[in-house]
Amino acid sequence: MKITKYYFLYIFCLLVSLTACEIDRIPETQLSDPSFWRSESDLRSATNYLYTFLPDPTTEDVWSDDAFGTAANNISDGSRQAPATSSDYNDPYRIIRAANNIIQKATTVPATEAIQNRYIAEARFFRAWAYVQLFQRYGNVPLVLETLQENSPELTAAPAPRAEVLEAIYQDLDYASATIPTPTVLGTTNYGRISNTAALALKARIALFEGTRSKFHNYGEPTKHLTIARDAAKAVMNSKEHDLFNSYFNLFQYAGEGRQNRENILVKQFGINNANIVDNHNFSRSIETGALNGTKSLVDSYLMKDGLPITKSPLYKAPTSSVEVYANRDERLAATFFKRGDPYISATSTYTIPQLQFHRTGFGTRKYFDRTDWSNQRSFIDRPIIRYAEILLIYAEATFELQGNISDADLDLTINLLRQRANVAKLTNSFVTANGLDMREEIRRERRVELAMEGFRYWDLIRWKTAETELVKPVLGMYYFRNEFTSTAAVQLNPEGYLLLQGAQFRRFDPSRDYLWPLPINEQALNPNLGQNPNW
Amino acid sequence: MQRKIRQISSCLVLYGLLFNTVQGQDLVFNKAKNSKIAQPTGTIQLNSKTSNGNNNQLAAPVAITITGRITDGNEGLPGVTVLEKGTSNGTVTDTNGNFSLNVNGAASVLVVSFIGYATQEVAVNNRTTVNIQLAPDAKSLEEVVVVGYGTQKKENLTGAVSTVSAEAIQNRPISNVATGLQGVAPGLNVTRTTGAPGDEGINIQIRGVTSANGNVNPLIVVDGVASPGVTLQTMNPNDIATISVLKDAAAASIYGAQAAGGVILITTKQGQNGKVVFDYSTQVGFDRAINLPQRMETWQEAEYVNYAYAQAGQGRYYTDEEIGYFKDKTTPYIINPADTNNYLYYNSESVIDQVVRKTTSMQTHNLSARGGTEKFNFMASLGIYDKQGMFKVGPDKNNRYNGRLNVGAQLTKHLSLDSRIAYTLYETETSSNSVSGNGGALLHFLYRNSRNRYPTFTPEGRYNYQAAQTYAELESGGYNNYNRNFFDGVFTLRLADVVKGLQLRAVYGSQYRLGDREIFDRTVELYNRTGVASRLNNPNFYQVRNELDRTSNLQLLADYDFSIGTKNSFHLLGGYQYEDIRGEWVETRTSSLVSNDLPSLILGDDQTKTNNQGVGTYAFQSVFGRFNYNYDGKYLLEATFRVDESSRLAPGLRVKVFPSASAGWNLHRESWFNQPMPFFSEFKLRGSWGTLGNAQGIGNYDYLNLLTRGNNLVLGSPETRATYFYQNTVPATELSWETIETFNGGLDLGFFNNKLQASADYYIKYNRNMLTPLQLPATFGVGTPRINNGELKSWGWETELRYRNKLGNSFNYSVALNVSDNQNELTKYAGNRVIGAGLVSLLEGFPLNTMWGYQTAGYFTSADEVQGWAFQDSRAGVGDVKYVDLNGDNRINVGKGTIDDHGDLVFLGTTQARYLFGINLAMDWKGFDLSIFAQGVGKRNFMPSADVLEPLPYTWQMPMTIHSDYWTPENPDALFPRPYLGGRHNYLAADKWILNGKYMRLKNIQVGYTVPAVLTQKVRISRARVFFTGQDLLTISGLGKFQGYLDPENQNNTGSAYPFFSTAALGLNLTF
Repeated sequence: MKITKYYFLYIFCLLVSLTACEIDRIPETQLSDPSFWRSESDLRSATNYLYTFLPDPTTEDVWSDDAFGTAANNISDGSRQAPATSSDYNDPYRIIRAANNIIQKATTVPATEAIQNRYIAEARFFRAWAYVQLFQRYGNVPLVLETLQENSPELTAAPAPRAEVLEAIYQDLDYASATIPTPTVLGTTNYGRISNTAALALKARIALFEGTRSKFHNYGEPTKHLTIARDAAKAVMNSKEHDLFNSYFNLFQYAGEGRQNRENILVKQFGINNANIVDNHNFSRSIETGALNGTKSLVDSYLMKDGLPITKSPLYKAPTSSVEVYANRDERLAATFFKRGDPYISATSTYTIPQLQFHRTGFGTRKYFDRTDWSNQRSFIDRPIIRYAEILLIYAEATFELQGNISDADLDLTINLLRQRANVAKLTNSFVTANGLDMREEIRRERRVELAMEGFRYWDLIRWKTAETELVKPVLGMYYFRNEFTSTAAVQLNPEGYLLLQGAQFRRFDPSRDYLWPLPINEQALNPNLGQNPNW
Repeated sequence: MQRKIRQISSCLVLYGLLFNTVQGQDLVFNKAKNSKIAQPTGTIQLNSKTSNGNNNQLAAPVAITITGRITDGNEGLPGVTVLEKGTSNGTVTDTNGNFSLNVNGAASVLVVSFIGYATQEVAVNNRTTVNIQLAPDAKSLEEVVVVGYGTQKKENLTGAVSTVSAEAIQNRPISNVATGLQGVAPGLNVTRTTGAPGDEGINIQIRGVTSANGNVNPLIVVDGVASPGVTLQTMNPNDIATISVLKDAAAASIYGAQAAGGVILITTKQGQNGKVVFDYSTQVGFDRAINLPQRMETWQEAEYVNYAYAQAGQGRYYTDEEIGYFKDKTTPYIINPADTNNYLYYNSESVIDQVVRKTTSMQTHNLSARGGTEKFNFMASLGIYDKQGMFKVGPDKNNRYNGRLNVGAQLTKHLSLDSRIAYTLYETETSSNSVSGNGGALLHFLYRNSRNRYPTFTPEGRYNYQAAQTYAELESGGYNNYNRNFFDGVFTLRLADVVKGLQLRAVYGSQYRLGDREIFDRTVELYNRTGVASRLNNPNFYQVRNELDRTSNLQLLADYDFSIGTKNSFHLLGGYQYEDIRGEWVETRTSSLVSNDLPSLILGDDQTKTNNQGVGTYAFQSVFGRFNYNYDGKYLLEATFRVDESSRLAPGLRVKVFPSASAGWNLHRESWFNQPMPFFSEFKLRGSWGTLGNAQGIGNYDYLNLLTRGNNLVLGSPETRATYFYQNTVPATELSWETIETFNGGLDLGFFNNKLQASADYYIKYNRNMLTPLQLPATFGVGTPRINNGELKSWGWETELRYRNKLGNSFNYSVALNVSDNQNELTKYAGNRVIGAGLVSLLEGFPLNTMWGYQTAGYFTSADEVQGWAFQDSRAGVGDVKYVDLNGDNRINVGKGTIDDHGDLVFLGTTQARYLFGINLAMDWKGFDLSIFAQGVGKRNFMPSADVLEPLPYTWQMPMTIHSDYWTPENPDALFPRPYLGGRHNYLAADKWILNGKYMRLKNIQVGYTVPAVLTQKVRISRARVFFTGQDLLTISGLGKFQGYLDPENQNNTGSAYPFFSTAALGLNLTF
């Protein structure tokens, strides 16, 4: 009996001693946060993450009256509803957290203060970039300027008023423009990184947005923001860091890439090439299948070569074929849309008539199209996010809206540089008067045409408070040239014979609601203090 | 690394130490035995190797020696246990069925028992020679059941355990063990997503869902050692002796934190005493892809497309002249007059037939040898399985080679070693492109993404750039070859009966599993009339990936059986287990290879060379125990506990205890019960409670703040690759296992000497601390960890019925049926109340995977009706689906998309499969045998993706034959609404598009004939059977008109999936 007892005792002791086997396991192929933040290179790698959020080529113009995809867009026609969740809301806060984290940890990195500040400034640029996205859409949003913990009270705080959000954006951009080197100092090696002019340009962009928005929607301090916009734009112009590129078409081609194109202020880079694929988009294919087609409204706004609109120019004759639409027009029209004879999808083919199932308006977009990219189903053309032309347009518009007029000298500094590149007659005060034009309309037209299909138009309608008049109009396309479009079956046409994509009866814009976007429903549930924008 | 080696070796030292100690005690135990401390017990160790020598110590003064032979009426039965009643004195018969036993006196009674035969009690009656004939007993086939870390008599089980016999999966042309388990056990749900050879997307669930965090796979245990789930696809079905499925906590909680999905215990065949027996079996057969969707004839497709374009207000796509060419089929192509680089094609042959075979082949061969002596036995087997896929060209097959050697050796009187070693080579060859699925997969190109007018080849015999790229990709687009070499071993050292009733086991299991995958994405040139028009897979790339998974599993187990008095039997199990799992992979890739025909890392463009590595490790250690009490076979009690410690949890929170308790009552052993109701041969009530753990959704290092690295970023001029680091998720410092509490009640019945058997179970499972994502406002800005905060309730029942009988002398038959059901409700899940049209997987207060959609009311028949109806879409027109405006706001919408305001959405059921069943009929008569096995699901709904339903969602996605049944005024009850280019408005999630996935499948039919032994023995073959076996030959489903286009086994959101196969094979079994 005794022996048996010992026996069990032995086993018991053994089992107990065996439980001392170590079961701790550590990750062998991943870095952990405490072992990071040890050098400038770590700091740069952390900041590089923010660059991944820069946007790809966009189809956002389908939200506006400029473009139509293969089907109606619910932002454009007013049929959208508040989403449950939205990356429009979530993604900016991902940038903000990553930026806040860098701002907080950069000071612990063993590097000189100048180096620390340099990356803090890049992070602050991106934080401002993220708030710009939120601010445009939602107005008042929660303002998070520190890394939050799971139990931070800021998570359920009420949103900050738009003025406060904008102030934070200005501060970040001021810090960034004061701290980050110029494009020249950055040189070729650091091309693609944020420069001081990028910070100024973003400031000009958002200040113009709020300046005109408050002016036309009648609130806030329009003059303050318009002044900021004008001065920031002017600072970019005065820096002499930038200039217009010689070819409008090539801005959106491989020829327009890199530092040699001084018009680039901020770009999203893709590369490197088909043999060495690092990051790519497939925009050539998207536009071939009709993701972004120009509307009649946009195409009609392109001037004739003489600087007059089609309604006034003696050069204008009603076209009898699709290719005649492009005759004697602002050259940007043919650089933006496909016409018969343009190189198209395979190595041998050229564009003939629009395939109406894709290019439903008849105006297929040409920006970013490359036939080799199309056949590779992969494109590396960089996306200019801020280019110098926009700065010139901001300067012109802010000046005009501040003063109620703009001098010929200022026009020559800005809009006429763009017209010259597009081979269109100059805009002067006397030309406007002589032809019964409206200066504000011409400045806005220039912006619409120059920046067509680059995602600006919707926000312009919002800030000018013209969305309620423009977005409710029917969406029309090209005139239906019966001799050219061989099909006999019915297509929808309006009484004048233009392709009708969406009738006015299907389009709504509620001015009391649609100038702000709906906050995601889930977010309201998670933060009861968030509230919702009016009437959503 | 060094530290770890030290740890492992310290474990091994201890392991050795234990055994040295135990062996050192050997003599002491003998002394103990001599002093008669150990009392005889009332239980018998089956297959016990009790040697005659032991009996001397127990011999009484009037001992006599009995000899005899035990037969089945024909031949001697080896290995039969012969026991003197009321003692532990016994022996087993030799290879010829002979035995010799010293018994206590002339009045002794012998108890003779053998698996598969009724136990007999024979009085000695002064005889010295006793010959006994045993009668087969159907019931006793299942007498002993493999349970966690041991075995248990079926009669004494208190948990819910189903057993599957080897016969259920043998001689069937199944591709693997897992598919063979479909329908064979109640509560076991095996699904597959495709029929692709070696890549069937198999999913196994025991008793439905356990967690909202994805499927909780059962723990697979092979010969006592946990094995990755893939083992059920790679092991040889012919090596399996038994399979036990542990379903409730009482049965499974001895496996603690890994057992929430249930446990499947597989035991492989062992050697036996006796002469070496060889078995050879083979099946050679044909496979046919079933439910392969069909495409329209070219002219039908063209007319359909034109009609759909017209409906959408767009011009025609095909001219009348072209349609004329399609119809008369005499002009396959002309040179395009407008562009002489191109042909205009008018192909009318089926593009599917150009790529897919009518039938393909499979074969399997198995050879095994079993035999041994009392001291040594072995089982060696070799198996080959190969299956060719359905494509006419290119890589599409699966080969499996299995080798196994199981050896048992009695080392000393008390010490035995059991060694089981298996090797598997598992090869799959497939295209470098994905085959199944919507979008860019090869089958989608073939079915949908190509116009039928384009032939595969140009008139010059080159790949046509306009055609479906499937043929070119398969034939010339490279390959994706995956070879896996598995070396698995389980070694058990057993020390038995040094103290009566005590058994010690040390088990070491190891898996060394190598995988290598080579992908070559070869550039293929596609042609127009004059030259290369485009290229596939440009640039080419070559990728090599090596994987190594290593696991070590060490167990120390002690079993102790003892009795108090004659009626109180006890069993104690105590154990310790240490598991170390390490998975590593290394991957390297290069692209833009100089040669398109010689894939080699050397030949790639140096700028593009990348390499990558991953290591994942975790470890477990556990202490566990089981206590069994059995009062006279009537009252049964069992309790288990397991303490698990895991590296995956934060230090300080790593240990958790999983207890369980169960009880059973054998009423048929009560005299007050069985005397009035003698027809009950079994009547047992069972009940159990316990907890199980689930680690699904917990990563290896979730408690640490790790950074993720990315490098798909371009910066600089010239452009260069840049790398970045970021935090993806904040660490989950308080993470713990989900704990599933299970209640089970069961009933086992046997009638008429167990000719008829029935059992039923009802269970409820509560996952009370389910992992749910910590829901924070998006302003938090980074992925949130999970917290143990959710609740899922799951419940269901299982029944099983078997009847066996014979008619006359030679006609035996049996019928078996099993049915099971499971339901669930997500009672708490972070307040998730958001719904949308379609599948909503997580919704508080509802079952998992609910479907929501609009109610439909037929089709619009007039323009006035469209005008008067609630607004649903600007495209709505005559012939479109009418959705019902339930909330009367005159718009069809989802409201606010929450449970409180879901607009016009209605609840359309869940995707959960219910009423799973299996039916088995078997009969044999004079050498002929027939078995029929059908399996199915009684209720299930699923929703194909809109892309699968919609005929012409994009200009390039073609309608198929099924889409010809569309609305016209003459065909008002059509399956589909009017054709419409880009008509997604007709294919919103709606009751109309919820398909009924119930089905019954003739899983297997087997007809065999065993040649009379008198004939075969002349050529030294003891048994020869020829048979026909058919798998999945017939399916009845609730799919209605969708049958043939889809398969009832298709999962939700399926699209262009590799079809399943139906197999017919001839087979042969030889024993010699």
